[in-house]
Parts: sequence; C-alpha cells; structure tokens
Amino acid sequence: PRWTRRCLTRRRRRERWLLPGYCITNVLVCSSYTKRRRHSWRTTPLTEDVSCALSPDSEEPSTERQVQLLHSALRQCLGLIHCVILKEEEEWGELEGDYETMRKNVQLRLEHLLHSTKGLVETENTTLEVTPDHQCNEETDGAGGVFGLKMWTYRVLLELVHWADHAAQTLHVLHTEREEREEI
Amino acid sequence: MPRLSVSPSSKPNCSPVWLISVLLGLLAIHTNAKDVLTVPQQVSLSANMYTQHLTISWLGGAATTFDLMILRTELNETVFYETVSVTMNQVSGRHQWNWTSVEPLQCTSLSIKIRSRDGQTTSEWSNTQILQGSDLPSNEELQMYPQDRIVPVGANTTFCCIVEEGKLFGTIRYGNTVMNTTRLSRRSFAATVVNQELSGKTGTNVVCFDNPKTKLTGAVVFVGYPPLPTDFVCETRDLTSAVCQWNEKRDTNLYRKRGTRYSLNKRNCTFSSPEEKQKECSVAQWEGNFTLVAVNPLGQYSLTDSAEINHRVHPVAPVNLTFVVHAWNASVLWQWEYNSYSSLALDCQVELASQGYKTKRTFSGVGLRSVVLSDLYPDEDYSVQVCCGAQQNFWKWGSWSKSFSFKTNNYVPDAPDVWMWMNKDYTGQVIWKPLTQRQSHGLITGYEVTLWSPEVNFQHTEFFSPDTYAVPVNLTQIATRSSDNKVMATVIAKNAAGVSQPASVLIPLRLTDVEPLTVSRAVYTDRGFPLFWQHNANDTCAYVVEWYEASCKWDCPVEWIKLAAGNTNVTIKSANFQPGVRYNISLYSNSSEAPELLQHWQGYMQELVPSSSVLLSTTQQDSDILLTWREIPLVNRRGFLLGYNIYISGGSQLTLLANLSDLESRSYTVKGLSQGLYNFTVKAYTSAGEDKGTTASITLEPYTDWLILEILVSLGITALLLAVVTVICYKKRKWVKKVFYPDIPEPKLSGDWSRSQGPLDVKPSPHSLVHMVQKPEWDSSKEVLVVIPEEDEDEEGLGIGDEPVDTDEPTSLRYYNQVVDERPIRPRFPDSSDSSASSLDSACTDVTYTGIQTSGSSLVFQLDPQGSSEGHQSQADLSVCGGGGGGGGGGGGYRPQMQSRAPSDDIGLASPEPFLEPQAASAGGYKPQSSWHFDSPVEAGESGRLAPSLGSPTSVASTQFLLPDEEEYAEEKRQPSSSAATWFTNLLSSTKP
Repeated sequence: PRWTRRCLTRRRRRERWLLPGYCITNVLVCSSYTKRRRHSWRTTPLTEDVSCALSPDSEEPSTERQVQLLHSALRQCLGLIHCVILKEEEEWGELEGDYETMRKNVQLRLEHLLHSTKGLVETENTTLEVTPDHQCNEETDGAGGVFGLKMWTYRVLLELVHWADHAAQTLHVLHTEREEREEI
Repeated sequence: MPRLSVSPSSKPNCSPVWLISVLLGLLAIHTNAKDVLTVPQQVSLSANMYTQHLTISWLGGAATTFDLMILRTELNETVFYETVSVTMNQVSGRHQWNWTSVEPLQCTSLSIKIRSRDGQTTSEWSNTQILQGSDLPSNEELQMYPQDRIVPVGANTTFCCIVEEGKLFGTIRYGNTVMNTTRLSRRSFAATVVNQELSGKTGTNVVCFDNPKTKLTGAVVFVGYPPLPTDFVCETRDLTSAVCQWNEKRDTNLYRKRGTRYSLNKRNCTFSSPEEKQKECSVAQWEGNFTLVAVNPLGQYSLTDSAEINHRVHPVAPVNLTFVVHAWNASVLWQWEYNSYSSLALDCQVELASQGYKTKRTFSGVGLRSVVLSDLYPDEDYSVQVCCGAQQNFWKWGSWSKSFSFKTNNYVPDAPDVWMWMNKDYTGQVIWKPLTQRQSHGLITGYEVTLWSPEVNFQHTEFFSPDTYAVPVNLTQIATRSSDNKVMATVIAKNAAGVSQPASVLIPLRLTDVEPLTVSRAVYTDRGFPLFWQHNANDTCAYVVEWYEASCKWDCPVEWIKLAAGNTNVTIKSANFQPGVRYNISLYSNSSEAPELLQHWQGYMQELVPSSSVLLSTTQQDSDILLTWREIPLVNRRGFLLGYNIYISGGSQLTLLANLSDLESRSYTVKGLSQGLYNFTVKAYTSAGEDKGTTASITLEPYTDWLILEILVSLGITALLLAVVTVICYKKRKWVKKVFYPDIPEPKLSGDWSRSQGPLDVKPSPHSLVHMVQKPEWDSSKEVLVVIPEEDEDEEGLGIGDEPVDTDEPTSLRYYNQVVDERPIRPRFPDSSDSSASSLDSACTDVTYTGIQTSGSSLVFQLDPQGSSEGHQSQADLSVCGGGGGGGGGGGGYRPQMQSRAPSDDIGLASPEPFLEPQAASAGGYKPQSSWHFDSPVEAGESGRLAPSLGSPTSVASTQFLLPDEEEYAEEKRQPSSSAATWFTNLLSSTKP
C-alpha cells in the first residue's frame, strides 16, 4: 500500500484526541529522532495505513473502530521495533550506553499499550492480537548500506511516534465518550 | 612499407653508385619504420568499485612505453596523465596497467585514452574509453559514495555526493563537521577527510544535503585497526586435543561482520562470546606446531606456537569430591574427568579453609584420587579445594575443583584454664576461661567444680551450666578447721564426647597475711604491658600473671596468663584494657604449693587527665591564706598523679603560684597578700596533663588581733597622756588656779540684814543666776527666800529649760520665801532625756555658776536631816543633770548658802573650825568658795582645787564643785587614784553645758 495525500489528510483530520497517560513520546530515542524529522527524505510509510482501507465516501468510523485500527497499526510498529532490534544486533552486536535499555523500554511500553487497547475494544466478535505483526524481511532504505539501516531505524521510530500520538488522542476520545455515556 | 628494391645490371663501372643507393635505401627503411608506432588498440577497463582500482588493458604491439591520460568526462579535467612502462603479457599479448582513484569510481565518468611512446615519438591516442559514473542523467537520485568504507586510523578518504537531477548541491558533513568540497562534475561533489580518528561502534556518518535542505543521503565509514593478537599458547587438558589461547592486545573497533576472524592451523575458530578479549580455540589432535591467523578488513596477523604434548599438560579440575571425616583428620576423595589421568603422575595441592584462614597441603601420586588431611581440629568446619599439575614437565597448576565442606567430629574438651580470686576474708571466686571452639571440641554441656581439702577430709562438688565461668567460694569454715593454708579447686568441662582432664588451682587461705610488696610501674606499649622479673635458679615453678582494675576491691573480674617455668618476661595483652584505668598486675608462683605473690606492678594503658578535681578549701591564717585539698579518688585519677599546680586567677587568666610535686602535701600557704578577694585554683596533673581544676574564693580581711592590739595601744597611750597631764596639772595646780580661777573677792555686806516680809530682791552680780527651790516639806509658815530673776519672770518655767543654762546674760535672782513647786524631788539619771527634761523641771534647781561670784552673800538655809540624807544619797547618781541635777537631786533643790554662825569678813581662812556641819556638808548645801577652809594647808589646798571650777563658764551643773565634804575628802584620801579618776570624770562631765 502506498501513502497517498488523501490518506495523509484523513489521518491528520482524525488527530484530535489526547490521552496523556498513554503517551510514549517521552522515550528519549523517539524524541531525539523527532527533532531531525524534517530532514527525512522518504515519504513511504512503513506501517500499512489502515485508514486507507476505508472508503473515502464512508462515514468517519466510530471511536471503538478507530481504536481497533490503531491497535493494528501499533502491532505493526511492534513488529518493526523487533526487526530494528534484530538488524542492529546483527550489524553491531552489543551497543554502548543506555541505547539498548531505552530501546527495550520502547518495546515494553508498546506491548503494554497493545494490551491496553485490546482490553478496551475487544469484543466477542473481534479478537485482537498483541504479537508483533512483521516478518522482518523488508529491505532497508538507500543502497542497503549501514547508513540506509540507520535511516530505516529512524523512520521506524518516527512511525512509532506518530501512532503513539494517535493512540493518545484516540484513547482520550474513547474515554470521554464512555464517561458521557455513563453519565447519561 | 619500405620496400627494399633490387635491379640487375652487367656494367661493372656502376658499382659505387649501387652501394650508395643501398645505403640510402636502408636509411630510408629505418626512418620509415619509426614513423609508424602502433596506436593502442582494444582498450578495455575493469573497475573495482570497493578498492577504487581501475585496470586498463590494451593491445600495444611491441611498444613498452605508453602515455595514459584519465579525464573526468564531463568537465574534461585531467585526473591522471603519465608515461608508464608496461610490458606485454606474453600469454594474452595485451598490456595492462592498474590505477587507483582517489575518489570513488562512481563519483563521475572517467575518460581513458592511451598512446604508445618511443622516446619523443608517440603514436596517435587510442580511442577514448569511458568508465561511466553514477552521475549519469539516467540516474537521477541523490547518492553518496563510498558506502560502508572501512579504513585504518589516520587514513584519508574522499567522499562524493551526487545531487539529485535538477537540484543544487548543499553541504557534506563528516560527523558534525562541514567539509570543503570540490566539484567533480555537474552533479558530483567530493570532500576528503584526512587523518581519520577512531569512529564509534556504529561508524561515522557522512551526510550530504542538497540546497535547500530537502533531502539527504549519506554513508557510514568505520575507522579502526588491523588485528593484533598476543600471548598465543597451546596446551592440552585431556592429554589428546589442543586448546590454544591468545589475547587481543587492542580493540580493532570493528565488530560483527567487520570484526576479526581467526583461524588455527587453517581451521576457523568460533567463539561463544566474541566480545571477550581472551580467545580460545581448539583442535582435536595435538599437532605440535600451531599457527594462528587473525584477519579483519584492515589487515591480518599471524602467531605460532610449538611444543610436545606432555610439556603442555594443564590438568582439569577434580570432580565429585567426597570425605571420610574423623575428629582430628579427614580423607578427601575425588574423580578425574578423563581416564587418561590414571597413568599421569600428578602433584595435587589441597586448600583447606577454616575460620577464615587458608592453608595449602601438597600431595603426589600417579593418577592421584585421594589424600588424608591430618592435624585437623575436632568439631570444626572445613572447606576443601583440590587442583593438580603434572609431576613431570610441570606446565601449570590445573583448575581448582569446586569447594566442598565438611565438619570434623567431636572430641573431649581440653582442660580449662583455672585461676582464683580471694577477697580479704575467706571468700573468693574460682574462675576459668571460657573454652574456645578449638578447646571445647564440641558443644560444652557444663562444668563440674570440686573443692577439696585433704587435711580436713572435705570435698564438695557442684555442677554448673556451660555459660558459667566463675564460682563463688566461702572457705571460712575450712579455714577455721584446717591448719593447712590451701584448698584445691578442680574444674572439669563436659561435652557430648566426654569430660576434660581436671584443671586445678590451689587457693591459699592466708592471703590476707601477705605483706604488700613494693609496687613497680608497668608502662604500656603498642603490644601490651611488658613485664620483667628476676629468675631464681632454684625455682622450678611456673608463673601466673594476673591483672585487674586497681579500683576494684571485691570479687574483681581478674584476667590472668600462665607461664612456664623459666620465663622472666611476658607482655600481657587484653582487649579489656581501657585508657585511664589503673591496673594491678601481679606475678605469682604456680607450683604444687599455694600461689605466692612474687612481684606487683601498676600501670595504665594510657594515662589521661584526672576526671575530677580536688576538693579545695581556703582559710585565712593571720594575713596568709591556707589552701587545703583532698586527694582525688583513685578511679578519677586516670593516671599517676605527678603533682599539683596552684594558680591564682586574675580575671580570666591563671597565674601559677606553685607547683607541688610532693603528692603527700595537700596544702599550700599563700603569703604576702593584701586585703581583697582572691580566687585560687588547684589542678592535679598526670603525664597527660592537668585536670580542670577546682577554684575557691576567699576574701582576705584585716587581721582582728592586730586591730584589737592597736586599739589597746591607743587607749594605753591616751591614758598615759592623761596621767601625765594630770600630774602636770597637779604639780602646777596653783598656776592653773591662778590662771583659770583667780580668787574671787570676798563679798562685803552693808546695810541692815534684818528679816523683813516681802520679796527680797537680790541683785546678783552679773552672770549670777540662782534658782532656789524650796522642798515641799518646807514649812510654808517659815520664811523662805525665793530667788526671782529680775527679768523674764514669766518665762521661768519655759525658758530655762530651753535656754542654754550657761548664759552671759546678767540675771536677777529673786528669792521668795515660799514654795514654788511642791512635787517630790526625783533622782535624776544621767541620760540625755532626763538631762533635757530637767532643764524644764522647776523642781530641778538650775544653778548657773557663771555668775555666782556673789553667792557668798551668806544666805543660809536650815536643811532638815531627812532631806539632807536623801540629797546625800542621790548625790552619787547625779552626774549628768548638770548643776540642776546636782542641786535638785537628792540634795533636794537648791539650798541657799549656809549661813555662818558668825559671819564675818574674815570668815573662811581664819576660822579654826570646820566651816560646815557634817550634816550640812552632806546635804550639799551651797557654800561659797571662800568659806572652804581646812586646817591643813595641804588639805585646804586639796579642797581648794575645786574652787577654780566655780568660776568656769562651763561648769555650771556639777555638784562636785558645790559640795565637797569631808567624807568625800576622806575617801579621796583613802583612794587617791580613784579620786583622781573621779575628778577626771567630773572634769569631763563639767564641760557639758
């Protein structure tokens, strides 16, 4: 699937929720890469844009449905994180400093977020998985060199930041709607 | 092609021409040959993009020298232009030359052309061959070269960036450094990094940006070192295979797929933990010679090692250790991992650890599998490790086995170390030291203590718990029954394995009779109290040195050490030694007899300043101050007292008065101080310094005894002076009388002195004032003379008391022959109030002598005996009431001058009889001085001494001057000194107004 301008616009339109409790953008790795995001030269998304599956003429999906789609995207992010870890260990082995610890923290928090979203929107008819959804067979960017691997890793983290922000907003809306329903 | 042309001819005379033609032809052929150098054909290019090598091959004919030119195709810039010598490959018939490009070959297209050269002659250029770069218009993308380059530290690397078609070049960054760039082609730009430093583990990023920065691309370069292994050595563990080890001397900074690869005897080595510096690689069979080759992208390194297998035996660790344990020894058994060890001669060392200490014991044997560990302690935990090495051609000790533990069995305890403490009476303690673990040989279950005196057939045994180390004893009864002077105490320890040997101590019953020995001082050193004593050659006894706190008197916690015979010194140590505590240390003989005190020491582990000060008191002794103080209690001394310092404090500063090194002297006298407040401080001092001191204050007061003495001396001097004055006055009495009391002329009476009724106005001479008061008993029918002042008649009752009696105002005396005041006349007492009141009392006759020069006007009253008696009686009491007191006193009021029976002008001196009747004299009636005549001129002189006082302006109140009588005179004669004193007193009192 290709990222189209229409999909991008639609996705941005839906980014109007905020749920502070689930924000994982405080991870240092993500933050440091985010600062350099404007230098990105690739526009191809790494995660499959689940919203593109929706018909452009259809109504905006319900919040529960949005959370389900969000869960699917986060699953892909988790798969990509696994893939990044594998490739980096293969390339460099054990890395120095706190990088490995932070990378592990990102993975754990993402798994926790997947479990949380699953618990919120899983129904009898809908079964959500929390295992990584990626085969790790995607080639890295550029000429396949080490620089391409680094850029690909960066893009994976950018995707993660995006979907994490999205999750924060969507889950906040879900929380608000359910509270309103309970009050009624 | 030059061609040699030959034409036939029969004419012999043409030969010189033919020769010249041949030579010219040969020259022409040679010249023509040079002009036709072969142009290189079939130029081909072969590029290695990673190494940036370009291989150029061509067909160059016979030429061996070629000109090569390499140009950047787009900008037609010459990259390389040189003349090279290239030999033809005999097999392929081609010429080949290699060129290494500084820039990556992808950076831009290169044009290569070649020509043959022979000296200055060159062929035509070959056809240009182009090595196409990645900056062709067909390849529009943003690109960076080279990718993933691995270079050694210090290398120079050129990177090029090919910008996207239609975009502008921005910058190239090496890490965070912006590089200088050169343009290689329309889209290609190059930057060279020189002397590169070690990169990070993930390499150094080289990033290219377009302008404006919309996209980026980049490459990563790894900067590291070639491999450098060291300490390569091979050994065998199983006596068959080889295990080789080495270290990486430095980190190559290249990891994983760029890391170093090792091969041992051309067999690749794999590592379970590639990050470790220590590397190990094995080969299945011992080959004798071993070669290690280390290779990484930056180079390779080789090491070799050679040895026979039996010289490189490194035994493995013994396994499955087991034990056979006894009380004093244990056997250790183990197994070997390889059967081949059964025939290997081994040296094995056993490391035995117990109570924090480790010892090693070595054993030898072929295929050694067990050893016996002797000299162990019962009931003790041990841990054991074993390692072995080849006995022959020892290479190194093998690996240590795992540590295994065991505990030895129990055994009967050792005999306790017993001593005793006896108090001043027959009570005391039997003491023994707790058995250590190595003495108890198992858990102590209790002690058995027996007191035994064979002489009196006394034996008493008691059992005590394992935590008992002292038993009180009372030997009073035994002492009374036994003539022997000792009792034996025996202690036996018990544990699960049995009972110990009995330990005995003889308790002397006559300890109190021992005279105290001379006490020496023991000086503490870092190791304890070193003690020395003389050894008596005849003595074969052992010794006991005991010590305890000197302040302890009863059941003291004594410590001791037993020494074998022959010892003459020992250093006693104890964890219980405390600084500032005095210890008594005693040396006893320890034999079959009761212990005998041989020597006695005292010492401090560390002397401190006394913890308390002396109790100071101060007393004044005469003009000195005596300081006394009490001894500091032994516990508080905390050191050997060296003396006392006495200070006097002035403000906050102490001034040393004295230093007393005699400890027995605990007093000090401060002399030469003036009166005032003094503070004295006494400080005792030890070798550690002074205590805080005690301060006492005292105010030095004037010396009372001296004061009293001074007063007495002053009084004595005064009395002496008075006596001298008195004597002088007495000697010079005539002169005094003449000067101060000249004779008063005799009054002369004229006219008729017959009685007449009515007031008799007497005009006394100036300065005479006489109040005459008649006694109440006076018969009013009788004629009475009343003296009435001429003036101030109305103020008689008021003014007289207020007015000074001694007045110079001439006063008229009026004598009325009537009672003025009938109140009884009271005696007057010599107090001031009465004195003042008397002046207001009309009953008190005030007589102002000042003006009574005319009192000798012969006014005589007849006094009744009673009244005279009273007046005489009270006379002695009248001393202060002035003249009034005297006159108004017992003497009654004023009595007129006694009338002479035969008044005459020469009355007085010429009269042979006493002038006064005794009764009248005793009544103190007034008599003019002129009437005082005595038979004896001396007596007259004596009595006349009073006469001058009558003229005194101040002696107006004293009756002494008025009524001297014979009795008084007689008494004065009997007690002349008393009389003189009385006179003196009266003289003093007469001076009162």
